[in-house]
Amino acid sequence: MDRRYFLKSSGIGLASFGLMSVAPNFLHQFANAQTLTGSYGKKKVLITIFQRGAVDGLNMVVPYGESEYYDLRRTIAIPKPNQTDGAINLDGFFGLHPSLKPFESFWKNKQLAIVHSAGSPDNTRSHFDAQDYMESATPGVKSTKDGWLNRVLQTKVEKDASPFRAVALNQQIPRSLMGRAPTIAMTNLTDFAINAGAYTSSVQGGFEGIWQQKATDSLGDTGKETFEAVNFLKRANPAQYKTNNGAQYPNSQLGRSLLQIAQLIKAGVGLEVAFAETGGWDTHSGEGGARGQLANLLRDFGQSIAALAADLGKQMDDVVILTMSEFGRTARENGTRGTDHGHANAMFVLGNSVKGGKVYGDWKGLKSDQLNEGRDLAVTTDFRDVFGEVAYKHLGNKNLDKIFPNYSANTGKFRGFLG
Amino acid sequence: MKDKFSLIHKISAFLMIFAMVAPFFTVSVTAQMMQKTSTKSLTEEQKVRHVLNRLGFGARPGDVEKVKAMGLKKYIEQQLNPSSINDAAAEAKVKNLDVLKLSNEELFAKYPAQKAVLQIVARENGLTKGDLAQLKAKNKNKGDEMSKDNGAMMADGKDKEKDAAQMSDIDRRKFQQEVAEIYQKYELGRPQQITQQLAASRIMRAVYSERQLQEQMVDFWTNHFNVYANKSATKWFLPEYDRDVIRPNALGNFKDLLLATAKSPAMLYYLDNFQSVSPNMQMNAGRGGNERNRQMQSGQPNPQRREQIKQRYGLNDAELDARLKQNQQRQKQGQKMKRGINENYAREIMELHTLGVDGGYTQKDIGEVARAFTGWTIIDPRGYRNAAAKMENDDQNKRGNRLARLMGLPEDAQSGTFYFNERAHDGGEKIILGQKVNEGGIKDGLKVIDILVNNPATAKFIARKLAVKFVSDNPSDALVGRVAEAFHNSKGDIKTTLRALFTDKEFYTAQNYRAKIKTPFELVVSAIRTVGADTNGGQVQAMLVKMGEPLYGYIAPTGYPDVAEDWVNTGALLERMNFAVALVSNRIRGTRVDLSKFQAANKQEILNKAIGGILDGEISPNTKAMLLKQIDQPLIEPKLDDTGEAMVENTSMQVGQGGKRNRQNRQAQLLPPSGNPEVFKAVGLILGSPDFQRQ
Repeated sequence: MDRRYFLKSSGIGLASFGLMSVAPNFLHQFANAQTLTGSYGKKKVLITIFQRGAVDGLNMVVPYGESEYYDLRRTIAIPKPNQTDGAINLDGFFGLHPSLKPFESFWKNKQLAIVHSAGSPDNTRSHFDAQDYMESATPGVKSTKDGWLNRVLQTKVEKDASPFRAVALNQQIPRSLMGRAPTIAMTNLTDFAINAGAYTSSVQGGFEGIWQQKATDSLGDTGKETFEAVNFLKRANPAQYKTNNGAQYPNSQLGRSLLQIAQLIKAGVGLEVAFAETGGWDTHSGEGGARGQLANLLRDFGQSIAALAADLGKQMDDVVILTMSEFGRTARENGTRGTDHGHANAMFVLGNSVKGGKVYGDWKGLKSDQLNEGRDLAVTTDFRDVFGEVAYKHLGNKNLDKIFPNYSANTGKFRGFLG
Repeated sequence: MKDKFSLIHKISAFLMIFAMVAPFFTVSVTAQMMQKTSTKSLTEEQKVRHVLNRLGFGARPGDVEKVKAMGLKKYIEQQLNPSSINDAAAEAKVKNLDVLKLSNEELFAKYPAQKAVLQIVARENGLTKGDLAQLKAKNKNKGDEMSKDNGAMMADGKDKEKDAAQMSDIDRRKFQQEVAEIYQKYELGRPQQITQQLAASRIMRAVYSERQLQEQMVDFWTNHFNVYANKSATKWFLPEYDRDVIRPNALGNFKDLLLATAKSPAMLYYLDNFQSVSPNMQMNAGRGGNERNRQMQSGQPNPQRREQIKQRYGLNDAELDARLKQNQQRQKQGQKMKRGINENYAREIMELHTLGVDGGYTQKDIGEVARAFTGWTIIDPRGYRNAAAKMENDDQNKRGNRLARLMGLPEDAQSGTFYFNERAHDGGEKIILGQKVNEGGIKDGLKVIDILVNNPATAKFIARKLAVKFVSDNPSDALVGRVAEAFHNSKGDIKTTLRALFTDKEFYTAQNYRAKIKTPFELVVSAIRTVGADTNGGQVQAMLVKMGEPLYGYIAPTGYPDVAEDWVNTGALLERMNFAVALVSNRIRGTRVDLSKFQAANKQEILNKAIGGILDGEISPNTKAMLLKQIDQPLIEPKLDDTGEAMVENTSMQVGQGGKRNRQNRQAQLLPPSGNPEVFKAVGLILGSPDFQRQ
């Protein structure tokens, strides 16, 4: 297996790291040439963002056209558009939470699509189980070894795959990315290095030497590749990153994660699948309406994603951002001005190739007999059909039966948010 | 004619066998070339090392000699009978970890969740339930800079509730401080300490125990019957799981082990069986409901009760009415939500614990097994909620007592223990793998365990998994067959099964010698052992997180994979090397190493000593040549080679002012505290070399 990715592509992306001013001339020219003509720059990238804790989809993408919405949510409903703190109108029926103001221009430019009432056929209300089912993409089956994103990678074998093909901005590899295909988990790009204090150069040199030996098993190749990756990233000097188009990332976990994903994309390290997550969405009490707990979380969420899209600019041609959360929340607010564990939810899909400006999926309504078990938004789109459409149309992976075992996935079930 | 035919038959059979063996043959040749051994069998000394590596976590200084003196056969027999080995030294190491000794109920009380502790805060400050909800909401809102923004935005806000939902960093810190004080005042521990202490005990025992095989088998079975610490209440059940379920049965009988896991609160909780009830179960019918509950359910408590509730929850009349209405609605919804059978445990006990995924069971069998295990549950499974109340005032544990009465439990029933709830059990007849199960009550589940243990698929599945663990990523079918036979003939005796494995010729072939990639757990423990480091297990768990194998940290019930492909990837390899560096430079908190024994007159001799001490001198010529070359490189000056990389690397280091300062600070902090840096480099490189990743 030849996976010597960096020997072929080293030099790409130096410009994006702000290194050009100090790089030797020959590198300068090489990097420029590569940026303009390098084929790796054209790689399709999927960025998934998991909202852990179950975001309240009904306050994130508000069905303000339903009178039941206001009956069910006496204190936490988002007012109709054009009222104080009102929702941002999308299509005359749905509106965005006002904290998602940064999404408005993407919606108007038709880069942002929403799939509402999406979710799992499994009825569990356990965060743990629902996240597990969503990330393995096998609802009801716990013993699935790998995550769906890993299966996407496994079933799309790449010659010369980059070690940075799949990166999670996480301490641990998330369930979505667990499996045979190599993935990297890190919280900080600068930590992807040998760390031996004052002796780092010498110790790294030593390790590089002994891992260069002829491979007798998988260890040797992987060792060599590790140092190619380390050196590539070091040359790229992530500490010196400058954003484009005035993009400003919030200094939050999600903001920092997405900023580093943008760095990897711009550096052309061969990223194909990235994973980031954000927590705190389990708003059982004091959820707030247009302001408050959820509003704060959504502000960070919206600003972070908008910054990423702005920063990537034209590169959003090749990038799709997909957001998800394990389940939605009860349609009715509870006794502590929050919402409890529910069922269907809303997902965002953002990118220049997205057929945006539209809310996809069937909407059943919020009347008691329209709700799941009389309490939650009913699921009308299986989340696997959303995942599947992104894998199939954006990443060009057509092995739906392998990515979604025991599920009759097919293109006919796609909602059509990608061309 | 007949003879001729049979000759052709024989030839083709021979060719087929050769084709099957050929790949092994090639591998074995490569392995031999690498180790420069010309014969196919191992030397006696290699056999000793092999046994120390595979049955245990590698040799400590002096171990090889000890085993040689004792004789390999005797050593293996001793390891198979761990109770015959004095292990006082290891026990002394873990004696201060209190979670190891506490019952589940005691753990609930001593290590309550923060939300339980908050109830004390509330009660002490006379707060209502509503206040408490807000307090929790405030604490949850951890947005970094956002709270500041909102503070400004909300300055003119009039809504008291919305305002209260904002919390500045200072408030949050103060809040956390108050919570910490409560923990201190009542001498409580944080729940995450349960997992930390338990993981530390596992690491220390693996390092120090003379019962090395016992520790390997504890690791094996803990992974085979995997549970995940962070699935809500599971962590409170883990010390018991290790102490009373896995350890006593690790080298005992598989059936006892399976039954112990089936009854363990850890497994019952993790795979949801504690919630699995017969759909025909009648909840509370005619029992337990008192007048007060009926009033609440009807939405019309009497006036005196109304006043009580208003006072207790700080509500006015309108708010109380709204709450009552909501309660009623919820109850209606609750009736619609059916409680019933949960199949998770039934599926996994067959797929992962016994038969294996191809073990010949059907979806119908899963449903039937689930029915057999209905009613296998846990008393007060989330005892941490009651623990705080109980701690403050013993009489306050009313809810728990009421529950106990309802279930017909004795007064002294302990939270977090196994309980068979007859009323939740589906008593009907079941057909499982073609066999009728009609024993009734708890005996239904016991019968299922019998059926599963005696199924030949189980013998094969367990045998194969053991062979992968101890012999090779690709054990031969013949070996698996021999081990399965031992399992089957001994009715699941683990000792007998392992003896068959450790005396099998395939266990000692050259191609399997130093061939299996260590798991991260095996790597850290063997590294600590080989350099004779001292550890309290503390920060080692954090290193395992980075390498991808935190103990009790695998989400899926499959447990960690046990073959090389799953462990070898760039990110994980880098962490393995960084672990080696951290260990030898004494940067792992709670772990100390003295490298002076590797000290020698010059670099070459240091290297030879380290290679001898850590790899028994068995190093690939390539690694050795590279080490010799590398040890001559200067330690501090940046590496300058002919690729020009060093130049770029050096330049980029100077670019960022802030980055540079950070780097310098870090460097100052990371210098090896004492000793010869040449020794540090030599030992570090060897522990991080490909050769040390194999066992």
